[in-house]
Amino acid sequence: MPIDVAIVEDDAAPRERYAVLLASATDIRLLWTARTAAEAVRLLDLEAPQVLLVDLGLPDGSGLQVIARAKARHPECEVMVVSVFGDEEHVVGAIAAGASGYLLKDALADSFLNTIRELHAGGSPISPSIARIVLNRARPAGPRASGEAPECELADREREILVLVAKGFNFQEIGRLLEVSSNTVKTHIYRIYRKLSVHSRGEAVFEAKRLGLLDF
Amino acid sequence: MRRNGSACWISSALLALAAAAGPAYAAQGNAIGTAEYLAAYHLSVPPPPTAQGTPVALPLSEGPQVTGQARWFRFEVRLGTGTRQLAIYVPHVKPRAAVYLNGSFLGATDGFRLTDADSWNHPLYVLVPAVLAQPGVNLLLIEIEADVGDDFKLGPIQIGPDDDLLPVYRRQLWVQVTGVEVVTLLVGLIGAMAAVLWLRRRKEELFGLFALSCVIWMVRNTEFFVIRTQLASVSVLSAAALFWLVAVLFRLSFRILDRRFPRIEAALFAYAILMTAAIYFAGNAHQIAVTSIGYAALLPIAGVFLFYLTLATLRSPTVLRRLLWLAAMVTTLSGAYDLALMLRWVPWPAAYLMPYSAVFYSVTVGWALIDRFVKTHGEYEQLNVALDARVREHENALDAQYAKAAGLERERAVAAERDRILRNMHDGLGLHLISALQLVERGAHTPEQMSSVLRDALDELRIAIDSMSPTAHDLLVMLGNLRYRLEPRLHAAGINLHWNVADTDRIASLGPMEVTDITRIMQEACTNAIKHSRATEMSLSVSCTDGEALVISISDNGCGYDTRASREGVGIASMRKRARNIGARFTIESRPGQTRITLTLRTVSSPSAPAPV
Repeated sequence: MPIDVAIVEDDAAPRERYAVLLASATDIRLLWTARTAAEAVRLLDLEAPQVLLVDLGLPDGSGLQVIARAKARHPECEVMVVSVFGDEEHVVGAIAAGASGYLLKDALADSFLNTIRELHAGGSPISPSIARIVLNRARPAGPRASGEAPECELADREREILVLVAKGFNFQEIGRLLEVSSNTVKTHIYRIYRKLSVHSRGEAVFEAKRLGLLDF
Repeated sequence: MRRNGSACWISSALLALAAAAGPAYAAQGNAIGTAEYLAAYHLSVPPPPTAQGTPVALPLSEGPQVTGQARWFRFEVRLGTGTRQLAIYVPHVKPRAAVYLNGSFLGATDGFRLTDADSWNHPLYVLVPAVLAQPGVNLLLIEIEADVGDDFKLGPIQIGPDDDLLPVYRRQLWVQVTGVEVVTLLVGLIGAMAAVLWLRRRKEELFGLFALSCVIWMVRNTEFFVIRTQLASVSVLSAAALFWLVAVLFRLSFRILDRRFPRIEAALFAYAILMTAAIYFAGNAHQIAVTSIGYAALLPIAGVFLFYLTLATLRSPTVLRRLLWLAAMVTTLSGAYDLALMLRWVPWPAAYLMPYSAVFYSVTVGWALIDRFVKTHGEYEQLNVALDARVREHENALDAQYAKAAGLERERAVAAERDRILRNMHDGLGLHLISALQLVERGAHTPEQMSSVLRDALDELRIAIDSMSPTAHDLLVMLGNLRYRLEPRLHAAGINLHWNVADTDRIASLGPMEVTDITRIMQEACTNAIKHSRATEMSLSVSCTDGEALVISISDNGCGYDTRASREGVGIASMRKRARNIGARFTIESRPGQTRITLTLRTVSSPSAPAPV
């Protein structure tokens, strides 16, 4: 059963590169590609991918819309931002909209495909700078006054893991340091992503702004 | 217009007072016939109708030679046959007097027979019982006490119906006595207020002077209405009060005009002391004469003062000066009038007017006080406004200064940031693009070479972009990002990277510039290893020594290279240069199986800033 992947990208060259890369793998199938947000939204309604790759700068709007739409219509669909630089300003907003990390546009073929496979298997990659920003923005752990609206609050273990990610350790090393399996680490990361995301574009933007992740 | 109006009103009120006191009442239907002085008779024992008298003519302003205990005057009064209640009215009689008709006692002025009483200013009014009055000739006797002072007067006598005479009497009584009482009470109240003000603000001499003048004025006025005085000296005080009043009022007026004439003021007080002593020592016999001379001497002084005041008012005709002028004018004129009355130059019946001029002074000084208060208040308000303006001015200046400083700071920061970005572009991306160009121009490139050079350029660009991120000062995050990006390539090259980073606060004290350059050096070392070392193990470590040095090193177990060889030398030279930029010591040791690059930085310890969690 191949993994169904869809791509939203307005530039031809990277779009073709992804198509070639995906075609080289037998376990991955390219479901459709879209050039605009509108097209992507229309295609999402027709056919749901298992993994969606989205470029944020689209001619008719932000890729955030597409991410939010995908997560709203197909919660099981994993979304990944494809970015030239992977700079946190863009990526963290996308995470708030429901994305799970980013892929670099020039990523090596293997790494590109492996990331898709891992994502499909429930492992969300996270870069140190994103971990640092999430840590900085999240409320400190501990008791909070009753009646307060629930906020993005990290569990102690999640915080520990993020601290280690921010220091450059990978999941295997973190698993060794915390004496857990690397799969457990992945699960925590996945949970953190879910905590950060909300399920509508308006909320996503609001959430991203509240967390100070976006400057519109 | 209003001022003139009030001045007119005040003047007409004064005239009305004078007029009320002025015209004599013409007896109707009843006539006073011959008047005689009966010498050498006893107190309270009317002389017999047969007693011989000396004819006299009214009004009498000088007492006849006293030969007995009392002065007796006899009048033949011709009465009509009317049935109306008759009354006898004597507006001016001094000292105290009693009235008899046909040998019967009718009445007397207050205090008659009391040696320490003095009701000289009170008109005399008695009713005539019908049984005593008979049509035709009646004998009217007036007994005037002989033992109080030398001042004597007996004005015209009127006899007529009570209905007609009573209003006249009442009017005269009001003008001579009651009105003075009212004015005195008023002056007392105003003076008390001024006194309270002065007690609260001792430096306001005006308040004190005014209160003092009110007190003196009250003492002065008692003479006109107080009947019984237990202290004989009170009449002396009352008579002398006018001199003190003049001295105080002059000083007060000068203060209102904001002038000081110490010699004139002192002279007036000296005159007051002198006159007080003179009146005291003159005794009853000469009191009136001495007082009259003293009062008369005040008139030219008042005249000079009025002249000065007129000039001052003309020069600067403020409301206050006009009021003061009016008050001084009224006081002087009424003083002159009173002196004339005292000297019997004014026809009787008449009343003393000077007590009333106190009202004018009260109004004037009251106005001065209000004026002063309003001005002071206005000045305070202006002062406040000016102060506010100055504070605002200073605030604005400070704001401008802050804005300027902030602007400079911003400019400086922007310039520093621009330098950093330019240097990044120049040292990093620029160099890589140039080597790519070189490769293409030489035509001696393989797709792998080309791809490698372009990848290096992209890596450079990513570091440049990372260096502008909010986490750019965090060395571990930046090195971690580098690892996150290079890991797939290391993996592809068969290199296993060991991550040995220490948990240390001091790393936080690095700036984004240092962090970026350290990251570049590490990236250069990593990509060199990926390309050339054929290593299988690589280790990156970050640690702090006790000597507060930050040590970052990267090592691999690859083939190593000759550190003096020119080809590798380019990359190494670039690393060395960057290390120098940030003041770090750069060491490299390489031999087959072991290559290690070490950066050592002296850092400022910042124990107060805990490591970010």
